[in-house]
Amino acid sequence: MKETRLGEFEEVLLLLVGILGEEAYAFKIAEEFEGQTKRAVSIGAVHSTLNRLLEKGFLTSEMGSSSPERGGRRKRIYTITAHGSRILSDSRDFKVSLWNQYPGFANG
Amino acid sequence: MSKRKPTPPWYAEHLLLWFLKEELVEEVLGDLDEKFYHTLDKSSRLKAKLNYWYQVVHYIRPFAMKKYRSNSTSFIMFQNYFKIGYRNLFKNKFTSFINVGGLAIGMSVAMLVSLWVKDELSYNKTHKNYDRLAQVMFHSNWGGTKVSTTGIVTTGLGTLLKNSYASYFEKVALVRARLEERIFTYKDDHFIENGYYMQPDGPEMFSLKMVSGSANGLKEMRSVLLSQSLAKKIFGDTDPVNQVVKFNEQTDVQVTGVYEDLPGNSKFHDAAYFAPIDLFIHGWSHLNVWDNYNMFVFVQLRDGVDFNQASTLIKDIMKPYIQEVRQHDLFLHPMSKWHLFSEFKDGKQVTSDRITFVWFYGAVGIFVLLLACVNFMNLSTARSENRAKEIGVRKSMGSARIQLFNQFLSESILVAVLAFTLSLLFVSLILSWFNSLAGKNMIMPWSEPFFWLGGLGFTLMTGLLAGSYPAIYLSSFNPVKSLKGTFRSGKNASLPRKVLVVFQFTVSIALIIGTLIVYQQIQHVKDRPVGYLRDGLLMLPKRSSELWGKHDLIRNELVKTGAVEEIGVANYPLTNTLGNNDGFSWEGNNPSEYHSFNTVLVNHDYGKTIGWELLQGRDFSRDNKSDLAGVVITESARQIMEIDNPIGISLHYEYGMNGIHDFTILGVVNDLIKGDPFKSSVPAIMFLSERDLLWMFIRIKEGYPQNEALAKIDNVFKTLTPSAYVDFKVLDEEYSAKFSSEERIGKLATFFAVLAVIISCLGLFGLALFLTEKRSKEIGIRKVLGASIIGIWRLLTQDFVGLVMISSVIAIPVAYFFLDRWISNYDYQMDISWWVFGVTCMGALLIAILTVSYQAIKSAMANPVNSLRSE
Repeated sequence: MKETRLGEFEEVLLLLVGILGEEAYAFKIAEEFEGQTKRAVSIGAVHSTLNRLLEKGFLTSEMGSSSPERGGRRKRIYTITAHGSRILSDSRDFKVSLWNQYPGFANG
Repeated sequence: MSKRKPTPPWYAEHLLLWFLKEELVEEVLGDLDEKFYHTLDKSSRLKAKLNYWYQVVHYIRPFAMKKYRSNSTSFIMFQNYFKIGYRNLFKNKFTSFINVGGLAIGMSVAMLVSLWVKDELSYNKTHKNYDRLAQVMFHSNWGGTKVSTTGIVTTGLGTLLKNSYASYFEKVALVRARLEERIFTYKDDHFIENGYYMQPDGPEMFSLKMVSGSANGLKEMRSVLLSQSLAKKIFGDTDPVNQVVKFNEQTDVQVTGVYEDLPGNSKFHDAAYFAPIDLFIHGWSHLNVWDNYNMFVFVQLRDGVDFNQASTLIKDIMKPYIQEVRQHDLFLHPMSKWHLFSEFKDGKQVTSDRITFVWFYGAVGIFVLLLACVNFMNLSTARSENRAKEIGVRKSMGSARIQLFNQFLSESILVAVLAFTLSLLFVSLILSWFNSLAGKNMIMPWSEPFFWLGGLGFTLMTGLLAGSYPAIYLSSFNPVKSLKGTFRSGKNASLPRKVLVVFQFTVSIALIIGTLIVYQQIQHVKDRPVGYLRDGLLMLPKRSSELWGKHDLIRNELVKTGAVEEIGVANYPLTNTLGNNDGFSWEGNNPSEYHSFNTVLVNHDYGKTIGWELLQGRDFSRDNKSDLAGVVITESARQIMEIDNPIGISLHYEYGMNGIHDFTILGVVNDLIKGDPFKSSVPAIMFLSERDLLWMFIRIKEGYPQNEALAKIDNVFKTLTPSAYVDFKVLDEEYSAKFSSEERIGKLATFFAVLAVIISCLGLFGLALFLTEKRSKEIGIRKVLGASIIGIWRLLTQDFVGLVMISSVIAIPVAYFFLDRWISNYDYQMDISWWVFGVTCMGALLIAILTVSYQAIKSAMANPVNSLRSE
């Protein structure tokens, strides 16, 4: 059986893929990650994780359009699968339920 | 026009393309290009390029990398060999463990030994002028055949060489011929340290690395150079240069420099300070003395002058300055020979103990490594029968013999590399322990390419050596026979295996015998009567001026405490044989024979204090004023004089003592062992002195607890001489220290012997394991037919017992030969007792039986159904 739990990095990347939509390819995701988290990351690391998420079935991918600054090379666009969005919302629900049980913060 | 548009670094792109999977190239290159131009927009071109490299390096991840496949058949074959080898290793975990572990231990020993040998060979090499430095030594001929060689010369010789031979010697330095112990006092703190007195050129000749101050700092008489560690000890964080310390509680000297501590393999490594020679001779001697031999002379040759040439030149230069009959032949002893080639006999250089040990340990290292290789060969050949089918299949598939040969070699190299890695780990773990054992300060030469080259070359060699026998032997199997299962290694096949086991046990037994004999010899010497009572005897050098001239007062107070029996004084300690003089004659002596005696000044109470044993005559007595012209001699001195009853015989002393030249022998005492307890005792003559002398001896009352006594004695000194530094030496401890180098040999021998035994046992165990497995069906059938466990055990062990017995027979004469030679190095030696050989062989036999029995009993107890069921 494939590992179905989400790591923190994986979860963030999955969310970023959802946010970026049509523009979700490795370079953009890495840029967005650095922009949002202020943490440095290499494209290789992002690519490797995206690859893992593909293998787990949370993402699909296809080759997209090219642009001149890429030397005319196409990019690989990632999209979240139904399974992926379910895992994401499960993860959110679980955390919300934990937060609700947390005494100091429950319901504000 | 704008500048040419920058592009991503070409090398990085190539690197990426080299390892990146084909299908990822387009997207990754695109992403990285985008990243590159993005960075270029925001910052410099350099940053963009560096970032590109960074991104490329971070693509080195398993998911992105090509699966490397080669189409070359030999590559695929090698891959297959390693795979099969690896699987074989894990299939037989236990035998593999023995194989790899044994080889790793063997390699570790070889590594430790080579580190040790390298250290021995690298003595003094840190000195920059290593190739140009020499010590001036001389052979002196006493007329007749006796020639002695020494490097202890007179100050006059040093001055002569310096003034008249400057065209040969760039620098000449006189150095006091032994370490001098001095008290350093700084702000009420005392430090007792050893160091050398030398002339100002010394520090530069020996290229001391100055941490602060100047290497030229010995020009002034009241100056001193300190080692970094001593400076730290005395001054802590204060800058030591130009500070003033009190030397021996008398003289103020100024610290003119601090040098980096000399490494343990330098001749001067045990010196914590260097002081000017002028300070040493100040007030009692000068630099042009020709009759007092108390200095070393070191010279640095000029370029273009070689040692032999200079040696010939200076050979006879002492002649005009000395009146003695003996002839001095001077020569230069180059620095490269100091450590290992400094033993002389009859005017010729002889094999030194040190070089013998270099050879000995080198041989042991090679032997232990050989043992480990032998194990590997043994087990591989033994296991080969299990792999006969594999070889049959390979051969019928068309393997050439050379390919099988390669296969087994690559397998053994695999194991050797594994063992090498393990041994690196092992050695780095135990190195500090081994250092304390060997009294060295060796480090792992991780960063030395030579070490890696040597280590890997050596691993490859070991792999080849260990694998060659199985490679040749296994590849010769006949495929048809081995596939049909009729392959039987005949009697011939087990013969080499047996030879190997015999070889291992021979070495182990010899090493065990050696270890036992070394310890016996040490014990024998420890039990040697020393001629005085060591227990409860203290020794105290009166270094502080405050301690002088108060003998009677101190004596009275000490005796009053009730802890002290008696105190005596002498001008030399009981722990060395300094102070040797010739010039004695007696009735009937042969003037052509040269005799030198250890001459010691003592007071009336000395004999009683140290507890010497009178054999004839009497001790010095206060009642007899004429005893000042009397002497007490030791037994060996009496033997030299060849007088049976020497009491009352008169002895003439050419140089005189206290102005008296004719003495009467009052008594004979047992030999006092003051120097090397392994050497024959030095004949001694004791003179009476009424003056206060340097060394004080204190006899604690018998049965009085030493600690309490020490506290009381210390108290007396604190009251009588409050500011003096009092440094007791407990005789018993000082004496034990004389055994350190022999005990070191013993410990090292034990270490090697234990490892050799472990390796042999591992080998034997593995072999037994294999052979019993081989015979499991036979054992099953025997059991079904009613064989007893004892019977089967006997069947399985008797082979090995025979082998070990053969080993014993070989090992005994070999060990005897070497040990007899070793022991004859010592003047005071024991007789080698035969029971050691017997006990060792019995022990080896027992160990072998135990090792084999575990396996034998296990298979004898096994249920025969299990072994017979499967077919």
